[in-house]
Amino acid sequence: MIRSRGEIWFQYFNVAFLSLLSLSMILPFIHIAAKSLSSEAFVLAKEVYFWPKGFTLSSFQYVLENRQFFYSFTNSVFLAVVGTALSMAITILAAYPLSRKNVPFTRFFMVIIVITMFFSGGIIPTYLVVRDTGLLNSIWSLIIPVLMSPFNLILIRNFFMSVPDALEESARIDGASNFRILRSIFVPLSVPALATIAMFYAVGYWNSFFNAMMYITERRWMPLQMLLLQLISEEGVNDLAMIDAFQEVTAETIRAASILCAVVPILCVYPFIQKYFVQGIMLGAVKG
Amino acid sequence: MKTYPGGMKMKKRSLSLVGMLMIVALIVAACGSGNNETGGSGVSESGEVTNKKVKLMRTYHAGLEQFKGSDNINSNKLYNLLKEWSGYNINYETLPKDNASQKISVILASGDVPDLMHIPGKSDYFKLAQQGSFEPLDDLVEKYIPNLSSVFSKEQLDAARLDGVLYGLPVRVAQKVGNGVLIHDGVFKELGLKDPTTLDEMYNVLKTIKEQKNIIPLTAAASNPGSFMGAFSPISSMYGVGNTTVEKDGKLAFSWIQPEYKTFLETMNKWFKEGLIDQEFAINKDVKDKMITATAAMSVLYWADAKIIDDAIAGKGGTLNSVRYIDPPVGPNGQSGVPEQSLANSFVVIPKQAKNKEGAADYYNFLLEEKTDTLITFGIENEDYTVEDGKVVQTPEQSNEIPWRTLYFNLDTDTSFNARLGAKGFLPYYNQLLEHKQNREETAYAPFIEAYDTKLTELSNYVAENSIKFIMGNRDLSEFDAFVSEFNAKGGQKAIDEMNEWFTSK
Repeated sequence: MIRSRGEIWFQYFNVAFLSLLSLSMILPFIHIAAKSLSSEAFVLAKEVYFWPKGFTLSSFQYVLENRQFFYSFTNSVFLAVVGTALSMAITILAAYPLSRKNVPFTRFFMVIIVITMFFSGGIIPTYLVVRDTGLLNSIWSLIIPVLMSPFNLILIRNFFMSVPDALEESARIDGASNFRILRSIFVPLSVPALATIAMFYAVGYWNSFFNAMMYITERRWMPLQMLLLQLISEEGVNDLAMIDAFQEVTAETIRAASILCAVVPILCVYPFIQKYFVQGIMLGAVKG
Repeated sequence: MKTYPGGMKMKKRSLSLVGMLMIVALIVAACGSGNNETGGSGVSESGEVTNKKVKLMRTYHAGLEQFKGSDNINSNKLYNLLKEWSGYNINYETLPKDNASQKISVILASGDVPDLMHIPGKSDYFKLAQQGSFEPLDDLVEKYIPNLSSVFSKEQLDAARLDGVLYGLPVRVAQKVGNGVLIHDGVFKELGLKDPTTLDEMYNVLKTIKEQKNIIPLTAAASNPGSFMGAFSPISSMYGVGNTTVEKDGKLAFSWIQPEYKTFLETMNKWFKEGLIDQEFAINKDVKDKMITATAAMSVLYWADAKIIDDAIAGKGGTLNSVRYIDPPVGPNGQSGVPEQSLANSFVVIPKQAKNKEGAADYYNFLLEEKTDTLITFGIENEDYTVEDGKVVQTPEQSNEIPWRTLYFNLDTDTSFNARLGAKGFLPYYNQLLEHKQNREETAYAPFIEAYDTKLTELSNYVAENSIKFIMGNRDLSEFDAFVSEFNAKGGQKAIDEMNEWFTSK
């Protein structure tokens, strides 16, 4: 391959620029990891950068032995797995009929659904609904109110619409039912899109925080992100002056270890889904 | 696009149908939330509380993270005893650490409220009391909380009154003093320095440290909102302007617009220019690291930080007791000290819609009884502590077995505070501070004064911002008079006038 000097310089520049960019994202992780493996004194003195000082695993031991962390972790895993599965099921089942041209009132239902993207009931009415349905302090309060995202529904619907009608017709001639067509034709053809949406849902559930703050007061059902915030957020001077003044502030190293334990699991999901991400983008591009 | 027979027509009809359904649903929902039952009276004819279910919601507390095994706030050995002794089936819930006030509004609006509730923040408390969210407590206190008078003076309770009515009981703070001038003892010994007792000596000490060691003589963290005032309070107190207000001619006035405050700023400006004050003080969020590594010799620090710094120095191979507090130096007119810690910032209330108000008051009273107080202060006798010669003896290990016990406090007592500090090893640092002169802040005893309480944060932030500019020389001190009129125009004058209406009629 022949390259002009300009192109070569451009490549050098690219490599340098992108390396810097990735470093700016990776270094904070390494910094936190180093902190979590260091002893408290060095962290407080701000002497730990990218390599642990006074190596110790005690903060990880503390985090992993902590029952509340275990509860919150399993809550979040439950949310991410069960919530995503339910959300995907509901979204697909809604998107398929809405994408078919021979179903009446689809436009009307789409309008209704789109309206919810721009208007909501507000915090207090929503809270009342959740309370009156008996969902307060239940993990389902973090799933049911956010079961379907209209945005994701529209994405999947558009994807289904791009599947040729002929495929559906031929299946129907072979005697396939609606459900069979969805299961054997639409879903397999849309795996890249579905994987992407599933990822959106899973990350959303994993990060669910605001609803948890509103609906969960029992610590047993607290998801990980809420626990993390309580561990990490700084005590203000005013808080310290209050009744809790004597309480030891959570150690920096334990904060760091908690962050790692909370972030790494969801991070591990990305590499497995990544190939679908790429496919999904390409498919959209060709059809679009 | 294909059309279907009658499709358009149906579409229109169904739209209006759904529209009507939505309206009906809205009306039903609105009615539904309106008729929340308040529950029958849980009191027998003799005034005895028969409803034994009480739900309590408290603020977030670090103790929640410290339960071991399957224990939690509603299941542990102390909780079981509280339940048994009081006869109440008590259920504790906690507010989130952040956005607590939002959650409080939602809970109060929803009507599904706890019987006892902690409200953090004086302004939130008074705002909600004004909106009529809380039950007036005077009658309940008289009937069910006789123990209250042993804890609060009339003056302290009056500070929680709105238009003469008591809506909340302050969460008493046992801490008398928060911070002081912490010095790095090693640096002082190395240079043969004596503790400064006057302003001039302080200046000389700072100068010597700068010249001979070339480290930061005095550091401070003033970048967090609200932190400037505390960061130099022992120094401004030398000029008598360390508190928010000063008394002049029988009236209160803001310290920050006094000529003495200008003199304070002039001194600080001089010190800053000579490099005696950390050049980064305005952007520092935390100065613990500078004290630990001895890149700074002095700072104004909180007693808990003093221990953390000391431990960290020891943890890095240094010796313990490397830092200590010095007595606040005395200013040119003999003034000195640190601001007295203000009174409670949280209140315990009984929401208007609570189902068991009498039970809530009765349970509150139960927690104040001596036997209960001992239980939640020290734990169970012969298990968590022993009594020798009539005195409670508790080892740090015993205390750390039940670090979450203060979750059950509705207020803090001196006995308990000192016991806990002792067990955690904070007492040596805190006691050094206790001996310092504490300057009383009159406004802390005032009731809610709208022009003052709603403006104070904004005003003090404005002062902090400008003080930092004056000290760093970004604003010339010849503009101090202009600053004073700006301050008054921003609501300072109105705030202090209304405060004086209360103060002069006291």
